[in-house]
Amino acid sequence: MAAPTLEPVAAAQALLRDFEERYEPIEAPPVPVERIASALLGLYIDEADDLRTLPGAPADQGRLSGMLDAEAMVIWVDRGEVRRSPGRRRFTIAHEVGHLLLHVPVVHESFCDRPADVQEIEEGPPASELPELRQREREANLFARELLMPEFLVNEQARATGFNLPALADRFEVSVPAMRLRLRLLKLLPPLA
Amino acid sequence: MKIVHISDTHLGVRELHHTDAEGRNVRELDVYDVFTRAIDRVLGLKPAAVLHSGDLFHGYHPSAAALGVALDQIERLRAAEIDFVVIGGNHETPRGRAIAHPFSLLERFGADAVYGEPRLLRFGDLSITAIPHSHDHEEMAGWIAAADPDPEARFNVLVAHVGLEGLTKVGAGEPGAAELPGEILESVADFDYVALGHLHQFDRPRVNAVYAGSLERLSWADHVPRKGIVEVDLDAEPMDKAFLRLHEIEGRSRKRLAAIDGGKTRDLTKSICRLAKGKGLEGAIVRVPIANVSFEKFGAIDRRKIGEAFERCLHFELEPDFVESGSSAPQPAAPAELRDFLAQRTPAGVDSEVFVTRGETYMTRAAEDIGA
Repeated sequence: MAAPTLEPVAAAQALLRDFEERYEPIEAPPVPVERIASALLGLYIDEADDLRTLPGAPADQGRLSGMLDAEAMVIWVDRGEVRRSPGRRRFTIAHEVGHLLLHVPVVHESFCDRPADVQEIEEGPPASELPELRQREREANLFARELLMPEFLVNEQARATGFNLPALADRFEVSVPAMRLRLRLLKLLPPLA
Repeated sequence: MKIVHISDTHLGVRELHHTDAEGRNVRELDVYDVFTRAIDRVLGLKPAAVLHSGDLFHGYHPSAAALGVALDQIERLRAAEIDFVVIGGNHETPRGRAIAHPFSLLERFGADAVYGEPRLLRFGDLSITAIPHSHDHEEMAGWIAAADPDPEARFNVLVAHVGLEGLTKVGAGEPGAAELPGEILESVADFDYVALGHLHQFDRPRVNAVYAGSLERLSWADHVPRKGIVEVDLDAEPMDKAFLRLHEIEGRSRKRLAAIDGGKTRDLTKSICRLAKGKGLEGAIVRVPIANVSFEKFGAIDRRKIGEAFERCLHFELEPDFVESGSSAPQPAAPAELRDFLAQRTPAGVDSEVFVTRGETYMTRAAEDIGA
């Protein structure tokens, strides 16, 4: 199988640019991920109590967090997870958008993601060193992180708030661990933070 | 100017059911010991002041032993001419006004113990805005939002006992605990340092705001690798490495060992005993998770054998994750949480082990009655 043709970070940045050109500049967080998915990409977003019951979903792989039906252009998200954390909903949507842009053109399939696949704070070896399936999940997570926490916006807000982690997480509508990781990877965290 | 930030000492906490030769709770003594060693370290650092950001005591009725330890250590600081400020946390703040705050006693011995309402304290160049816990969270948020640095002081420090939304906790939510939005820290952005208490793990939610964390790991949820006291150099820039230093103070080791898969392991007793050969278990509090285990298989574990194997630990317990076996066999032993619950409530003069065992027996009988 061919390797993905797009680099996740570059793809997320290109999508943000595209949205800004066609709609409006993103000057403050949160990034309007649902609008990007629906208005720009024509995706429909829906929720279900148990994604395993949906047509085409595997019933034997445990509970699912999100699912992309690329043919119908629908993103399904787990209602229970969304209720527990609105940030999780945004991350799952961004993750599925990542699959749509990075992997559907290459592998022509839909994606069913377990909670372990949709990871806001995933770290480890480079995606290229992982098995193919894990590689795609890692790339979708990287894409989601870049889309929800664009470097220019994080940089500006971090300096404006004195690197206030809970406030930044709140403004970007992501979890504190996800924001902490983002700041660390951008080398913006003060020592011992 | 250097100050030291210390927090969440929980003097007087009793955990597990192990007692020393005099019948004193071992974990209670651990907490006294680690606090005393923290003050030893402070004396070596010679800071201008020590700030304690709340939950000095575990409850609002501290025992004579807990009060004695607190007063002794405060006296050591005073003898070394180190100013000490402590604010009331949610644990030690009584809900009713009719109950005297334990800090009223500390005050009588000359300590700057702040409770009930905020106070502004001044020690030479250092101004300290001390905001104690209030069970009225809106009131407390208002106090923090209204706090302003003292323009006359060279250094301004704010100390508060409050949780922040979204930060990782190391325990379940506590009654009366306040959790405010992170934006509240923007209102205290102009303070040189914000000493926070309540979270039991070290954290730095803002460049000028720090949770020192507790000195001891007081629950299984607390698996923070480093515990200690925070030294702050107020002359340094907050982004500089020199601004903050965490001085580690080693508490009692608390280890959750690698899980054993009960579904795949034939001889559980043997597998559990094998884990006892691991390093660093001397005097430790140890838990072994057993996944996918049936009630029958769990009940067949030889408790005497594993008790002997883990003899060098202070405490050993199993954490079963039961699978349905289809059998009506009762759960053979109460879970670890129940044992701890009962142990903490052993009436005076009653042997703790006898009390806990009796409780387990009743639970087993009840399970039999309902056919669990």
